[in-house]
Amino acid sequence: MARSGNHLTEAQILQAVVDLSDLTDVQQAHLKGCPACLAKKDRLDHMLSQVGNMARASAPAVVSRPVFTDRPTAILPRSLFNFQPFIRIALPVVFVLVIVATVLVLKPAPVTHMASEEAPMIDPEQLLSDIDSLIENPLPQGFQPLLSFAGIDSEEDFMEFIVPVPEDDPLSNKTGEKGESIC
Amino acid sequence: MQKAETDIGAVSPETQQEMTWIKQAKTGSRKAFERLTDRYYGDIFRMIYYRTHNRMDAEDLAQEVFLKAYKGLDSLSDENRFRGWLFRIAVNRLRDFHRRKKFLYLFKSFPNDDVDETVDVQSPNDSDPLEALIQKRFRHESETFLSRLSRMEKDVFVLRFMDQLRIGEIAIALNKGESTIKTHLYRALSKFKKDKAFQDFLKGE
Repeated sequence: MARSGNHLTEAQILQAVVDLSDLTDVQQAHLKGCPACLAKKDRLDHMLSQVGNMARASAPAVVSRPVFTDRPTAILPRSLFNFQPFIRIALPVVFVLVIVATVLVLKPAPVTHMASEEAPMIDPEQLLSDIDSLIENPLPQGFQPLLSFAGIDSEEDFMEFIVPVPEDDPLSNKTGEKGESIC
Repeated sequence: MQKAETDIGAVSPETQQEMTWIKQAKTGSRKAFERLTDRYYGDIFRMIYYRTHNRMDAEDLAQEVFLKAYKGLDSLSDENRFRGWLFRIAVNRLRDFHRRKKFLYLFKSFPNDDVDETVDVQSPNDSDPLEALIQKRFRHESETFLSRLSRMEKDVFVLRFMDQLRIGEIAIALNKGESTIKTHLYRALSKFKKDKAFQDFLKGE
């Protein structure tokens, strides 16, 4: 702190430039009466006002200003219709909710890995016997009664039923041997 | 700096007249608001120009500021705060402008394009080459100095010494306390004192 006899420090000069009233009464009194300190402050003030002057000179002149139409005066207090703060908060909240809902709706169902991981391994011998039985009788169990209903007892009968040979066909005049081409 | 002196003392006739215009404009008087615009349009235009370096952008944004002020005049509770309030609108508009500009630069197709075509290359005093040179040097020196300041120090320094706002007006414009503004201004001035090149230029050396 500067007494009336001591000069102000650089920091106090800066403080005086920022706001003179921030100095103590003693400092202010010293500044008023001390030509050296006053000169320091004035030099700094002058340089800073030069900043303003040069900035002003570097800006182009103003040529036009806006034209206003008559402003309607508010009949009811503005705050009654001031939804802006509400919208500013509500919009992001709604946006986040929409994204969360979309993610939840479009979330894929959990994938089951039964086929690849959890299904028990089939015994190879069992698999081969299943294949053999399929060769023997490819018809599934549910269709077996149909065969007996049609009077077909064996597989050969079934094959003849599906692909009849011409000599077995009562409507055919062909007298060729069994297995001969019809054409 | 001259406006800072009006901080202390009685209310000047100019200020009284301004209070009347603000009150009239709040009741819907277009003429009163036009008078306020005439008084402050230059200040706002220059304030924006210092930060955009583009005349067209400065004109557009200054118009937007006054139209916004005209529409929102009801929200101004204290007529004494009009100038600071106006600068606050300008500060906010500038922030939006720079944010939008940054966003648009993301989509710029020529990353090697060093020249910013939005910046005015021409000086307002191109007819006087010496004056143009001085202004070019001023821009260089001031930008070099300002680049050494933090964002807040820069905002406060420019508002105080280029836009010539009072401490109280800067506090309103930046929505901060006066003591915060003074702290940042003090720091900015400390850095200014150390910048010999800028000081020499301002002294005319």
